[in-house]
Amino acid sequence: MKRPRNGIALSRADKAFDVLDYILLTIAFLLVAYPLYFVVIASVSDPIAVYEGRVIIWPIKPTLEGYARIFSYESLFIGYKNTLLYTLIGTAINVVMTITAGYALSRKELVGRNVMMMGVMFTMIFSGGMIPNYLLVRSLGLYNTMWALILPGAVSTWNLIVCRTFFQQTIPDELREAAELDGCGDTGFFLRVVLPLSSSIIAVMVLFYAVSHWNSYYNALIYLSSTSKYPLQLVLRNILIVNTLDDMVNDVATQAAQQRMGDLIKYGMIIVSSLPLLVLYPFLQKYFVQGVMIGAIKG
Amino acid sequence: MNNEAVGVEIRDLVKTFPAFDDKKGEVYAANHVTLSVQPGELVTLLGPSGCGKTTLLRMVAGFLMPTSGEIFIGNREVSKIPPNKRNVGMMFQSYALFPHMTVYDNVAYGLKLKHMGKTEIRERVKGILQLMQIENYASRFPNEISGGQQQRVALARAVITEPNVLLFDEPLSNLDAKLREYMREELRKIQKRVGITSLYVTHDQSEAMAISDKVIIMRSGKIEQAGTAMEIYARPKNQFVAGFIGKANFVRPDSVLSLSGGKAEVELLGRRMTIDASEECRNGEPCVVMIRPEDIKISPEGKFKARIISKAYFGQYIRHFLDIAGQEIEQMDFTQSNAALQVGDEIAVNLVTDSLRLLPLDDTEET
Ligand SMILES: Nc1ncnc2c1ncn2[C@@H]1O[C@H](COP(=O)(O)OP(=O)(O)O)[C@@H](O)[C@H]1O
Ligand SMILES: [Mg+2]
Repeated sequence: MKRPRNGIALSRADKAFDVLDYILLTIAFLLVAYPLYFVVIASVSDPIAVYEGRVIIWPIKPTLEGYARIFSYESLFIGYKNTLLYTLIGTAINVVMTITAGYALSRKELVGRNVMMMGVMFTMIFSGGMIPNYLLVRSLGLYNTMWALILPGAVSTWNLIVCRTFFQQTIPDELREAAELDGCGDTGFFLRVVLPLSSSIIAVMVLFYAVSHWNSYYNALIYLSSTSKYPLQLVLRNILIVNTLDDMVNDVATQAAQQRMGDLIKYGMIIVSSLPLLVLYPFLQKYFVQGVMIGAIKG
Repeated sequence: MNNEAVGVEIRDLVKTFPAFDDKKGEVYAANHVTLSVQPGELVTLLGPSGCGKTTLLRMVAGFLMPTSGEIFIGNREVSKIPPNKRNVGMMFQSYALFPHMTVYDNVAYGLKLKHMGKTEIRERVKGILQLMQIENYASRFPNEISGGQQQRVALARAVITEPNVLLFDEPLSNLDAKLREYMREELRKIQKRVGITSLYVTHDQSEAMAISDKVIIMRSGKIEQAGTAMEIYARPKNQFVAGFIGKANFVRPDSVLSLSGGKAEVELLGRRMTIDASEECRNGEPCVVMIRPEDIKISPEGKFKARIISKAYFGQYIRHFLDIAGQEIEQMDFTQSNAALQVGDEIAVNLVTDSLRLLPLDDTEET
């Protein structure tokens, strides 16, 4: 903090400002980081200690029992596999559709562009609701297939608008005209000029969509009937339910033990389900910030 | 370039856009424009912002469909032919270089699309980069070179495919004043060396005068006057043209005694004289006399009495604002012999009557 910036000595007010800055940022950092850390230590601590509020800085009576229990469910691995599959295929479809549609809608000479845009906006404000959606998915024959999780939300309106705005702002008309004079058609221009200049928006889209696929369970709950197709989140949810409410057991001691096991599993599950994304995030972080900015400039 | 130079001819070209304010109206961005560019010539479209220069250029390039009219490149009518089949090159205001490609790849792009052999492409690109003096930057990206260098890359890219016609849309407007003056000479040199027929758009009158074989003055989608810089400067047809090219005082004559055959007898600033008149002047309609600031000479034997209202020193000349017969008139003195004059001095001046010109009064607000 004593280090002068650019060799210019800091005034007293500057120093005070810096100190305050560090204090505030440290507090903000702790506010965000501590809950994450707590989940990690709670997932390997004695559930009684967690319950009594004694787990604060270090794990108490470390145990991997919770994880052992979680990984003992075979369905967990099926869930992982399913989620991975849904996320990969879903994100690929999402990104291709959103980027191409966003680019097309960014071009002024697209006939009927405003009408299309209005149609898109309309769905942002009004939607059919759960039951009509369900009926639609059923009659399209998508029920209990992974397509029920992928196709209805193939293009997110918000992301589409973010993409369109990005293209409007970064691909000037003159660039296309220059390419056109050289004999480059629309497809060639899109593939050879637009895409290479769009890596940031593509990364943002991958991140947005992948996260939402990874975390989604609600559609799976509604549209999937076979447990073998359940995504990770749904599997975890079921494991949790099984481990907390077992009406068959009347013995109070067993019930209490199960209650504790349920708590332990809960924290472990948070780790198990979010670790892959946490690992991925640092690599995409800078794009993530960019994407939020694009959305922020113009809706 | 090995192509025979061809000319460009535009006949009765019209382009309308729907007006923004009221739903029914139309804006004429090109209002029955007819013009021609001789083979190898550089013609400038000069006019204020919004007068339709870009629209006209984009119609020649093929990015815009004319509402009606014809465009000939050589003896081929091109208005229904797509841009890449017209054999035109264009230099854009923003340069429009591909940011993710090196200078070399930017320039080579058009040749690659024409499926030209690798070695031939390399030869051609090398040659053109040398001509533009940017061969040392071939492997840089556009954001790693200066504005003037980007400019040259843009020009190299525009001419590499050996187009018949080169179009420029205010290519210098993003450069600072010094570089702009330098680059316009460069552009002109290269254009002459390549011998390519060129249509050049600008709103900067000195740029237009510096580089053009012919200048075309536009206003609100219409051509006001076409000719060499000298013709337009000396014999403008109307007040708009006179004011747009160079500086001019416009003084209402006390009376117009006669008007015929391009000559007029007027009473001006209290004196009777015969001056040239524009063919657009009509008997009985209001007129003004154009007096260029350099056509007022300070001289002890001067016939007009004047008082100096203000004075500023510009190096090559001194600018005075004079009160002559109650009118405020700008004067430029290139002689350096009147430097001692002070504000408030009573002096005498002469008018170079040969250079004065009677023009129809322009009562529209646009300039
Ligand atoms: N795509 C368009 N839609 C509607 N009006 C336009 C369009 N392009 C140009 N115009 C109008 O046409 C006129 C001429 O524009 P432009 O050719 O860009 O002028 P300049 O290049 O001389 O500044 C302006 O009034 C402009 O508003
Ligand atoms: Mg323009």
